[in-house]
Amino acid sequence: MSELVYTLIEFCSVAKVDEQRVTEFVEHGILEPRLRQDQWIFPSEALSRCQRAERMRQDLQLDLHGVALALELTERNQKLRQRIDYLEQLIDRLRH
Amino acid sequence: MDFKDYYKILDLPPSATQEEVKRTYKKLARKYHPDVSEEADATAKFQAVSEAYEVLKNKDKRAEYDELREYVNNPNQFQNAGAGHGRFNSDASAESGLDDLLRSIFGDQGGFSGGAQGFNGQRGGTFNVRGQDIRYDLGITLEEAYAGGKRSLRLTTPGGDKTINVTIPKGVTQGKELRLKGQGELGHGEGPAGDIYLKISFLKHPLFEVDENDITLVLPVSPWEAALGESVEVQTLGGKVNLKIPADSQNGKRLRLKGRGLGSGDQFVMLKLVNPPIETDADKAAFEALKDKFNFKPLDGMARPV
Repeated sequence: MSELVYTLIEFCSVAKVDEQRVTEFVEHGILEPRLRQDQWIFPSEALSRCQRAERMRQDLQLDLHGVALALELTERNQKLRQRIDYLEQLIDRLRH
Repeated sequence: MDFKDYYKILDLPPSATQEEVKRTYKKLARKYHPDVSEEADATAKFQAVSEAYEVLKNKDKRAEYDELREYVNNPNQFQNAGAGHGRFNSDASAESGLDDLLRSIFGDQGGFSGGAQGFNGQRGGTFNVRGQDIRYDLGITLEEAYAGGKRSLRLTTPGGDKTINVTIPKGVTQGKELRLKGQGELGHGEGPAGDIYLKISFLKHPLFEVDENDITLVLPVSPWEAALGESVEVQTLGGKVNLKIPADSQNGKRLRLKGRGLGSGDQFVMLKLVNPPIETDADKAAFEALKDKFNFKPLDGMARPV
């Protein structure tokens, strides 16, 4: 299955975020595109991350360091929650 | 749309200062932001809080809203207000929840032009704007995630019900988003339609638990199967396979079936030792014999506080 990727221009148009903002997100490590022939290539997963970052920036009036930190913490939190769910279900099955 | 008490939404007295309004909004925005919050109805709460702040943060809009609120609470003091709703017809009320609020109270009479269209700042369709994206949660079974495949979905969208065909990628994991290009709301003018995003979640499975792309099956075994070893049939997402339980296995032992998880993940089989029920004297005698044979006291091996 071929992976869906975007160039910077495609990415900006689909994410509805301008190029300068995307560039800033990359500079702050919020988005991590790969390089292909000296051009940024964004995986499709980056779309929702970019939109989430932009919403957080606007709605919560965060600077980009804050956005990067908030994203990282919420993602870590979500992973931990999933893991807790898994372990709780497993314990339940072992007990009954 | 009913009258909304913006002060109640922000949990502030109507005498709150602009500074208090701002501070409270920021706190609640962090609490309910859908990208951050774990509250079930975070999106609705965030929208309510934002709408309240949109109005109260602006002194003119706030004054207008206060007057309206006063009218709703004490309608008799404003005997001409129903007819004279033009008093609430200022630019400040356009493009905010206040406009809808006024409309809900006085009906859709003149003086509220541009309310509905004003929402996107587009009047008369002279601008080309991409349609809104729509987001849904899509609950799928682990079998669907494992095998991938096509599925037909019936969605209720703002533009009416529609049926769409979705390809579920093989090995998809929880929380992944599928994008259906151009299936969202229609654009304005020449603008393209938005997209539909489907966020994958897994329905509870009767046998398996999921940890990212690994799955775990808890397998009940008898003491002798664990002690002597046994070849058993176990369920995987791809059908039944044979699994050899090695001799001298303990409770909780984890065996791995490589590549039987989602995508590149594995399936783990965790042994759960189950004693047979002891119902007769003969059952009891069998365990007595074990006791005499082993003289086994696992408690002795347990660390004790000194």
